[in-house]
Formats: sequence, C-alpha cells, structure tokens
Amino acid sequence: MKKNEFKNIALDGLARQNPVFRLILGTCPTLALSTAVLNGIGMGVAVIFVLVFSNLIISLLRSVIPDKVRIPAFIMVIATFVTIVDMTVAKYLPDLYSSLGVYLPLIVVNCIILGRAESFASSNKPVAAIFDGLFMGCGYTLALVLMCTVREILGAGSFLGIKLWDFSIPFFSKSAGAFLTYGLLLCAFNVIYNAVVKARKKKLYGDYMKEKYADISTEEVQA
Amino acid sequence: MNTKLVYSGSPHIRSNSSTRRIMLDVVIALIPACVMGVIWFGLRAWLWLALTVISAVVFEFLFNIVINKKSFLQCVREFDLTSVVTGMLLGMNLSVCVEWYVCVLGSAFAIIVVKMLFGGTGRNLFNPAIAGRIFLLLSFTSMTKYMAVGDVFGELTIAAGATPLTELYTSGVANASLLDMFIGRIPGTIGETSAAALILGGIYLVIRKVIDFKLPLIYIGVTGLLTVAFYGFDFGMFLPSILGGGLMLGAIFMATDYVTTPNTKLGNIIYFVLLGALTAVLRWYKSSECVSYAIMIMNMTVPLFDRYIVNKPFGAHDKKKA
Amino acid sequence: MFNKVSIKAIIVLVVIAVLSGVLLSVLYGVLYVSEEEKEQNALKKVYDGELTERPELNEKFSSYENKGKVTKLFRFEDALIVDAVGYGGYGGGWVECYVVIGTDGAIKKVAIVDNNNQSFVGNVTEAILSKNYGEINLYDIEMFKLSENSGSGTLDWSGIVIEYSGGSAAVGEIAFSSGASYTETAVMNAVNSAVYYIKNVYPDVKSFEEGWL
Repeated sequence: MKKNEFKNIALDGLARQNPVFRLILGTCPTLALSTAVLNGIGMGVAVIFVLVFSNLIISLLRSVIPDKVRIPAFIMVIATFVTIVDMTVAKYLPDLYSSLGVYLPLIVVNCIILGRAESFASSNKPVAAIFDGLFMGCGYTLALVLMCTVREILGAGSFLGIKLWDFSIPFFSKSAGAFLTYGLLLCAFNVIYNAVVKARKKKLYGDYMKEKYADISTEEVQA
Repeated sequence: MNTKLVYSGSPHIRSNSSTRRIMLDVVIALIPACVMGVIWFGLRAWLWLALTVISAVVFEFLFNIVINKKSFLQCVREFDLTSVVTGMLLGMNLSVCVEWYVCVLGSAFAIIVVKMLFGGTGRNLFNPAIAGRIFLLLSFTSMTKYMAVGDVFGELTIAAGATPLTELYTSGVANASLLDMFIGRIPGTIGETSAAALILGGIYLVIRKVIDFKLPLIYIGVTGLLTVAFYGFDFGMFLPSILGGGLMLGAIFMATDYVTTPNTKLGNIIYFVLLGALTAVLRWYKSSECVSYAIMIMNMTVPLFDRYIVNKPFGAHDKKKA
Repeated sequence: MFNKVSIKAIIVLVVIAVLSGVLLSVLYGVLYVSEEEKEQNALKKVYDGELTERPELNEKFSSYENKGKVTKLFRFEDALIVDAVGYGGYGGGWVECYVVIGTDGAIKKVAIVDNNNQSFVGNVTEAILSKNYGEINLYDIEMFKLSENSGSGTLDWSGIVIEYSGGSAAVGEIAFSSGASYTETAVMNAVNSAVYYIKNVYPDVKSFEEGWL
C-alpha cells in the first residue's frame, strides 16, 4: 500500500471524514452514551473491534458476494462480530455491559459500520480496509471521548469516575444537554477544520491564487 | 427653492417608537412586580434580579464583541434593551433560594444560546427567558425550593408544603386566601406571585399600545375555564387557578413577545387559545407549574402559523372562474 | 426463476450464516456466564466476603403488603444480605436492592442492583443512601408492630417515621429523606420489605444472632 494512500485513509478517518463531526453518522449512541468517559471509551473500543474485523472479512469476500444481496451479507458478518463483542463484554466487564445497555447490540445497525462496509470495504483491498476500519474507529472514539469529557465534567463534576469538584450542572447529563453539546462541538470542530484547511491552502497556493481560496471547498485539498 | 424632496420606499411616516422605546416600556411595566417581589422575599431578591440583568447585558456585549467582531462603542450604540428585558424576566422566574451562579448561568444560556446563536434580536425561535428558566429547572434543584413569605430581612426559611397551585391541583382547595394570592403573599418565584402588580404593568403596556389587551385575556380565560371543566365544572377553581403559579407573568409578559408570536391577528387569536388549552391540560396531568413548557412548545409552532395563516395582500382577490 | 445469479446469492448467504453460526457457538461455550456467576459478581460488588449459606425464604413474611417483597437471602460471615424488590417506582416500575444487615441488627449498607425503567435511578446516590440508612439498628426502635396510617405529624430527621405527614411512609416504616421521587419511593419500599421480613422472622436480636450458630 502506498504511503500516500495510507496517509489519506488515516486523515479521512480521524479528521476529514470523522464519522461523528463530519459525516454525522451513528449519532444515536453518541448522544445517549456520552454521559461518562468510561462509557465512551468502552463503546469506542467495541466499535473499533467490529469495524476492523467486519471490514476485513467483507473486503476478503468482496468478489464473492453478489451485488444484489450485499446488504444482508454485510449485516450477517457485522452481527457475528457484534455478538462476539457482546458476549466478551458481558463476561469480563459486567459494569460496562450494564452501562452500555442496549447500545452494544445496536452497533449492528450503526451507520458507521454499514457505511464503511458499503463505501470502502466492498471495493478496496483487505489491508486498506483494515486500516480504514482502524482509523474510522479511532476517529469515532476520539470524538466520543471529547463529547463525554465535556458532558461528564460539566454535568457531573467528575472525570473517569473520579469526582473532581462538587459543582455540576445536571442539564448536561440529560438528553437536552446532549443535543446542545453535540451542536456546539460540531460548530467548534468545523470552524477549526475550515480554518486549518484555509491556512494550508494559503501555504500551498501562495498569493497569486488569492481568489481561489476565497471560498473553500474542502474536496480540493487532497495532500 | 430649498425644500428637499426625498424619494424613498415605505415606511413614510416614522413615529418615535423603536425597539428601544418599546423595551423601555416593558421594563417600566415590570418594575411594580419586581418591587412586590422584593417586598415579599427580601433584599436577596433584588440582588438576584440585578445580577441576572447585569450578566445578561454583559453576555450580549461579550458575544457581540468576540464573535460578531463589533467594537464596544458600536455595541453601546446598537444596545436596544432587549437583553435587559430578558434578564428581568428570567430573574423574576427564579426562586429566592437559588445560588448566585444559577443567575449567571441562566443568563448565559438565555442570551448566548437562545438569542445570539440564532441571530440576535428578532431572530430567536424561542423566548429566551422561558428557555433559560427551563434550562435552570432541569439543572438545579434549588429552583423549586420556595421561601415562606414573612421573613423579609431574616433567615430564609423554606416553605413547608407546596405552593398554592400544587395544593389546588392535589386537593381541590388552595391553601392560601384569594387576597393573599392577588397581592402576592404566597411562596413562589420572585416575580410571579403578585398578580396585582403584574396586572398594573399589563395595563400600562396596553395604554402604551405595546401589547394587545385581548390576547393575554384570552390565554388566562381559556386556562381558567378549562381547569374548571377538568375538575367537574367547579367554578370555585377559576380564580385560584389563574392567580396561582406563573400564569399572569407568562401570559402578560412572556407569551406576548413580538418575535415568538404569529404575525397575523387571526393567527394570534388561535395561538393564544391553544396556549391556554395546553397550559390547562399540562397542569391537569402534571399537577404543577407548566406555563413555561406550554409557551416553549407553542413557540415551536409559530412558523407553522406564519406559513398557513397569511394576510391577504393589498388588492388581491380570488380568481373568478370563467 | 432460479437463474445463476440468484443461486449463487442463496449459496453465499447460507454459507456465511453457517460459518458465523459455527464461530459463535464455539465462542459461546468459552464465554458463557451462568446465573450463579452473575449473582456472585453482584454480591461481591456490594459486600466483600465469603458466602456461607443461602437460607430458605420464610414465605409467610416475604411479601410486604403490595409495596415490595423479599426474593433471596444470602448469609455471610458477619452479615446477612436481603435481596428485596420495591414497587411504586416511576411508571409503575420496581427497584431491586441488597440490604446488608450486620450481626447486631444494624443496617450496614443499602445498594441498588437493578431497576425497571427508572431513568433517574442514578440520582439516588450512595451518599444519599448511606445518609438515610447509615445508622439505623433494626432492634433499637419499635417498628412494624402495627401498620397504621395516622394523620399529619412530624418527621424525625433520623429517618424513622414517628407519625407520617402526608408523605409516602406509614407509621413504623423507615422513610426516605425527601420521598420526593417515585424511584426513592420504590427504594424505600424495598428496604422496608426487607426490614419487615427480618423483624417478623427474627423478632429479637437473640434469634437473629442464633442464625449464625
């Protein structure tokens, strides 16, 4: 795999096509689970595991699965791995299992997994698919942990379960606060992202293309 | 000839009423209720009101300077007292027993999130004071602890038992006399208890032509009548149900906000009737104060009203079939 | 109808299903968690100690009016854990608690282990539970002799209801600190069911301690 391709996949997963803040996929677990950082980390790791293995298997089978039945086939593969994760977590991490609740089995229909399977794994080589799954999962985990941090510190005054101070605004632990935090973080992420893209374009194209980067379309920035 | 002829679009007649003037009228109308709140609940009420108003203005200025990149002088020139009104209304919706940071956080949420992020004056979808109150209700339990009236300069004693409104809904009889509920000697938030002062402010607003007197009357009347109907047509419930809780404050000052009501006359009448119905139904099910939730829900439906109930354009008529 | 493409599709789907099934059944054997283990884990979280016995439940007193019931008993070295379920929660749901009672009859700890649809169960924190139930010894006070509902009255801030005042605890029950939420009511009912059971099956401290001999 070329170095450029690897860099593209990594940047896509972590920032350019971050599933939570750019693609806006899989928002339901993000909103519901982000009350505590430990939940976020647990969910993120589960998603990474499922993404990597389902991407791998689907990429290996991409020439075998006929086009008409690809969705049922993808779902079966994804469901297998989600069930494995479910059983493992139930046995070894029962606390995490009860805090994730129903969202652990719901990873099967999480749009991130199905979306990456459909748009990347079914048309790329296995090695590329593994890395895409890994970086998409990492991007999801980082975004989820960011949301969890904000909500836990503001909403419960603790971090990773350790109480920091007595003051808390319980609004942020409730669902209304989830939507508000998500909206504000989405805004902040995209403002920073657009500023970074603009700065990079300025550096690349120099002054004589001033009018070019006046209106930013991010597809133009590739390298 | 030195008469300058000016060619411009409408409006051609300009009066003195601008946003600032209207908001000044609202501030003046709110003052009696604030004074009564201070009389019943002590100097701490005055402190919280001032803190809420000041932080509302500060947050508006900060947002304009930092995000909208206006200069300080520009902010002062454009200052149109809407944040003062929001601050006062939010302060009047707080209980005296809250901590100082509740006022500041409520102002921050109301001004920054509900008003400025949506576009500033005239562009907000929800009434900022109502949304701020709901945010605080969800966050801080001290919002629902009411002080017993009578200890004006002394210790704060938490009112034992419920406010007259919840008593009314659980047992059918309010635990305060009608006179007490009218002048405000009951537990409640700072501004909502004294119906007399609020009505006085409302009359001032009607005289200054800021609000239409029919609309709050419709709201209050419908709520009262439906409450009477829900409790078996017991007309003794009518007066306690409209004097208790935040209905007067909400109906006269918060539901009639220009930005969050429909544009047309017919739309407004329907809107306020529905507001009254929703308040009565929510209060019946929840047996506690629901005016803020009712107003917030109806605020969401205003674009719907504006889409379907449209004034006929001047000179338009139905096409006649040939 | 059965052209080449659809036959291939069916074969592929069946093969995937069979392979996944085989993989999962192999792993199920490895990762199976029995009911016993789940119980052990739950108990261990609440009280660290050696489980010595699971006493038989005395059916006569296991159900306390319609407010709650006792489902299991666990006897440890120096404590008895009563697994009690309390009704009256939000939306008609229930809350299940472990009430840890020391050999002298003092309530050591109350922990919530399960609930049905109580979204605000997190609000009933350990701090609130230990403040409310921290220093109550079941044999110190007159409780559960008769269950009468009196009119209004005062609440003793040690948490024991002397006479109740329109709240949700009856005379002789242990009230919850504010009794304000449905979830707290369910917790209160669970603990009161456990206390009702203990006080009626072991009417005094002696018979309670004899259980350990």
